[in-house]
Amino acid sequence: MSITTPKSSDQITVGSIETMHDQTRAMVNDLAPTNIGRSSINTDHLGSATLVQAAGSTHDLEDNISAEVSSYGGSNYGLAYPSHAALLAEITSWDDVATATISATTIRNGSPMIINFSSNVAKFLDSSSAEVVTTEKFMVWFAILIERTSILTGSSTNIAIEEALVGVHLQESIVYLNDSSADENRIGGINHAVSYTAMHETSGSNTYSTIKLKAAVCPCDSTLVGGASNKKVKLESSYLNFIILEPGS
Amino acid sequence: MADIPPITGVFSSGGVVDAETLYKESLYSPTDSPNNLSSITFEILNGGLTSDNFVGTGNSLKAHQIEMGAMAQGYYFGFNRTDFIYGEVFGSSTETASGILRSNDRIIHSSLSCNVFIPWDTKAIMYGYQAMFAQDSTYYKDYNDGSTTANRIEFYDLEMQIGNNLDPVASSTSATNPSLQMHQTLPHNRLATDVGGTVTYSSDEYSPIADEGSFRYVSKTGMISSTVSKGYLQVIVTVGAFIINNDPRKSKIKTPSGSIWIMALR
Repeated sequence: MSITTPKSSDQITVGSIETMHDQTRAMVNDLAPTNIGRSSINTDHLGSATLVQAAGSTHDLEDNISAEVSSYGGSNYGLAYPSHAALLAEITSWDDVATATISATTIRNGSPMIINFSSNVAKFLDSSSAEVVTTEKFMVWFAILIERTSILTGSSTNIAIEEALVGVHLQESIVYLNDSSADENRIGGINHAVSYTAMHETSGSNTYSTIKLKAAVCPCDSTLVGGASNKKVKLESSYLNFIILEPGS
Repeated sequence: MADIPPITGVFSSGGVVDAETLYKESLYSPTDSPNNLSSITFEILNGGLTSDNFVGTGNSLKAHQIEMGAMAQGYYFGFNRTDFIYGEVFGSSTETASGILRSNDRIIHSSLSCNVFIPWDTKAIMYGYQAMFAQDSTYYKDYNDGSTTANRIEFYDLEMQIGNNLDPVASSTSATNPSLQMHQTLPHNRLATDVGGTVTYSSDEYSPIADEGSFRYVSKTGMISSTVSKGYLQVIVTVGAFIINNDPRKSKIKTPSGSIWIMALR
């Protein structure tokens, strides 16, 4: 659409001005998105996100992890899972490191849920939770479990955030601690930092209840296959928190 | 509502065009906000258009049409020249807070700290740091301080704090300022018994080479999960230490590379 402008010899009248105004407003009132210029939309036009809930676990600063990955004791000694269902079953049996409660009863479908955890794998412990030196190779695995139920059926629809599965290889256990004739001199010295941030897109057909940070010890030494390792790890400074945002107005 | 109305009948009778009415009703009438318009004129082209002005399939926008920083703003600083902090700058006071042994004598890690201006009230802030640390700290077997003999383990530790409340212990149970949750101890990596046997208080025979296997790459991320008002926001990493004997003269923590980042969501 073009705007009819007066020629140099025309007299400007109320009618010609009204026509130009109408033609111009017709364009401005119906702008195609493709005609919007670079950086045209800013905070004056955009609402802010709605914070549905923000919460965290705040008192899980120390924890002893004794659960072991299920494949340990068989012919394998690492973590292996062929499907999401297998991973979900796997991490459900792991120890709870931290739990955060979701109190929001209704969450709009497709809302971003950002989950963050952090921990320090501090020490090796024996079965009686005394600090020890170990000579075998170990990992510790962390995972995020979201507990929810189907609104339609009421059955569990828990999920594991697969990309948030984080493993920490405790190389100190053999490289640093073993090479001594007096192991008791080498106690401590693990202290591996772990941290991860993941996002889950909420499903409107589920009721969310909790988010859990799970962890398990994973022997990585072939000499341990077929028997219990009886080793724990001590976690320090573990915490888990989350936020749920909805698009703003 | 930012649709521009027609101007039919706004001019005075007799068909006389007057400039004041033309400006006021059509071309330019200063307005305060697209959501609070008393007289909508073409002045709304100066940033006052709303969704009512737009048509088209899906009314979707391209990312470049949104001003950078309108939805989220971030800050990142990275470095790869070694930062040194020597043991001599620390005291040797420690405490156990919520079961965690930490140093009371802390200084700010100058490369892993920032003061960021947040231009609007936030809904959430994500932040974190990652860095490689090369530290010297010693395990003393049967350390004799002149009166008692015990095992002594030196350490360096890290904490991260955000916001204006930077008391690490008072905020230890706060989800909005989780400094103790962001605590990280670095392992000792020198063994006094390797070279000097049992070390006495005045001994200087305690400094074998630090074992690289105990250097740590530390990555920590956190969130402030509540509204933070616009303005400057501090994000700092502090370093603490428990270094004893004559060790502070030699002991140090080096940071060869690292980075700190923050992202605020509106």
